[in-house]
Amino acid sequence: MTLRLRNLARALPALALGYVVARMFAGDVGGDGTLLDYLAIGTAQGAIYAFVALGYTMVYGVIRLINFAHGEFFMVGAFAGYFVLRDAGIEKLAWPQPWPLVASYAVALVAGALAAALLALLAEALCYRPIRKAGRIAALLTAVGLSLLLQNLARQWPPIGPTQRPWPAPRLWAAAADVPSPADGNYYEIRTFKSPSGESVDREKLVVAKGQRLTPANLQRLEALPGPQVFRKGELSPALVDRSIVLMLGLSTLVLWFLVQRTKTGKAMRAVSEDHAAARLMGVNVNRVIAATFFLGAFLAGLGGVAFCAKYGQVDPLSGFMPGLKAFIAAVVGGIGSIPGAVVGGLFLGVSENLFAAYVSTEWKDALAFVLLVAVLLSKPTGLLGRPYREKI
Amino acid sequence: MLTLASEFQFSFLWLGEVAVGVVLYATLAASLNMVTGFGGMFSLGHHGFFAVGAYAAGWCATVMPAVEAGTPGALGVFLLSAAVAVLFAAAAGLLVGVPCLRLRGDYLAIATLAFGEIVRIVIQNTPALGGSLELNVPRLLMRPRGLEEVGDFRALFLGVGVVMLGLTLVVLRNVVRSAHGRAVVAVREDEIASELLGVPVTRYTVRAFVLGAAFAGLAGWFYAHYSGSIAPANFDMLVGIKILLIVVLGGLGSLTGTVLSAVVLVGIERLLLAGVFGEDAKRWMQVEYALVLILVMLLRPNGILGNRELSDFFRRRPAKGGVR
Repeated sequence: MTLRLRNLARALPALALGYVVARMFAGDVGGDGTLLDYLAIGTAQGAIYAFVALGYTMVYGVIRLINFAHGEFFMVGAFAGYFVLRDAGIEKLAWPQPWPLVASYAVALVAGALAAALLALLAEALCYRPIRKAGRIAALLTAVGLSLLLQNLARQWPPIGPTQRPWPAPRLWAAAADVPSPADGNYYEIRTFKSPSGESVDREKLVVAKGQRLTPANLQRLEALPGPQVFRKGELSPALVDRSIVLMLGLSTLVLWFLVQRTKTGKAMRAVSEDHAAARLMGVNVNRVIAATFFLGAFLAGLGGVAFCAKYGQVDPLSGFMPGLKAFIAAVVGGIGSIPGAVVGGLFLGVSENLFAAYVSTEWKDALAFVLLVAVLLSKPTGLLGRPYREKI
Repeated sequence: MLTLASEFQFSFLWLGEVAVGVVLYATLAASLNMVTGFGGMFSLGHHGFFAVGAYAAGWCATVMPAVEAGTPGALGVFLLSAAVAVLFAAAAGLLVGVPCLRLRGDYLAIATLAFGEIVRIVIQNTPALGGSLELNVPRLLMRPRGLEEVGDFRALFLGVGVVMLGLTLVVLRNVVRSAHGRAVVAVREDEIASELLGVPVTRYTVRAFVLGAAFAGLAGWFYAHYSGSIAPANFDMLVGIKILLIVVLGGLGSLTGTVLSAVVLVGIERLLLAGVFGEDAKRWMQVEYALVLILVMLLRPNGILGNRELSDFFRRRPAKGGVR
């Protein structure tokens, strides 16, 4: 094997990435503002971009459509995860800590992913399928319209509303009898109040403060209720979140690679992306393959949405806009239509954005992605890993 | 839903405002139609040129020595700022066009989208242009006594706007009918074939792009002076999408269709905003707007007129088998 400059140019970033990820998992990275720290944060953010970019790239690969509504699938996934975490009460399971938390996050991620994926199926069937033959501009404008529609429906729908919401903090539930005395932290319970307009509103109410004892009256009242009744507020450590995101991306990429390269549906997908008509002649159900692509892409976007909002601690109807745009840029930078390209582009964008913000300027951070996009388009129009495009005459 | 709400008071003032909006968006959409409709170049960043024109005009009006509104000096500044706006927008068009027009189709759309966002971020980070706050543009056109009322001021701008729209339409129509325009349309239809026939593809497409950018800049100049204060939020992606929607609804390659669809779309939007269809319809306006967009695309993807002009409908059809 000869050492070539080109191989080196590919191996070096991969080695650097491996090193950063290894240090992340060894627990060496801890918000201290070193280069390694920024690289780790950038990798985690890039992993989220990669989740979303995968959907863009897969959809573009099969029907040559820039799916502008993809960022809204991301937002819907994030909200589904938010409602599961806030209302489903999975954290109340009487397992040893931290398993109730892990279970609640697992359910939230799956719920977010499924919500996004089902919405994508619906959108594909109602909007994109009828418009497919009408030309590129019409399809693109439909996607833009769908994006606006979902954003504004979310703003108008009362359970979501236009305001920004804090991401629910993890709750460590316990039975009242298990609270040590004096208490080892602030313990809360959930009480239902009637608001002036007549709705019932759930509020957190402090039962016993740190270092104090539970009053006998409270103890008696709480013990009469079924299940664990009081909780302490935990917090997600940023390093843990980053690690889980990177792990999730690794696993999802493996699964996706398996699906696309080793299953029959994957083969059909690749065939459709080469040539719709030829694939149909070979007996591929093109409509079903396209629906499957939307489903998979939005599933990943939903995962990314829950992860993103958990990392940044808030969610609102516009949550999907900027990450969607950036992920789209990542997909183009990596080479749109290429699955490894989406991962590479996402990581590249996340890392360079964070390094830029750390060492050059925070205000101009958002411009960097766009400048990068134009630079890549001009020097290598099909992206870092894209295949060269040739017009047939 | 269709009961007229009592709070809406029709007034000529309101009508004038709507008419100014129609004229502004018709100009913007006509300039984009030059690029996308006739040139076949898919641009999602037209609002960037609009912003460049508006800020160039606003900046020019603020740095010039103060003049009293309504005097010949003020009129001079007013016209000078138009020239500056058009020049800056055209220069931006050249700057974007020369490298980006090597790209085609979706890639061009993305590159122009990136340009629109970069313009906004640059403005946000430039204190001389007001940063993310407003840039106040001094009033130049108020005539001294007698014409100070707001309504008169709007009427004045409606006149300016109609002249601007007329100029845009005439210039674009003449360009499209010239040898230059035919070459641009030929490139849209088949780039390789027209190149083989000796059309210098890059030169013509860049010229068409710069022309579209220049007229968007002119619309920016009009907007800056009309609204009196401009902010980066007035030039976000939604504006670009709105312009593109007008173009597509009117028909790619139909200038009269563009004006017609500007009347329809801006009219509907202002009626909703004014609460004519009730409070609920106003509150859900954005949702309705998005629904209209999707429905138009699903039902009439080629626009109201397709690529025909309004006059084509009144032309006598040739007899069967006859030669036109």
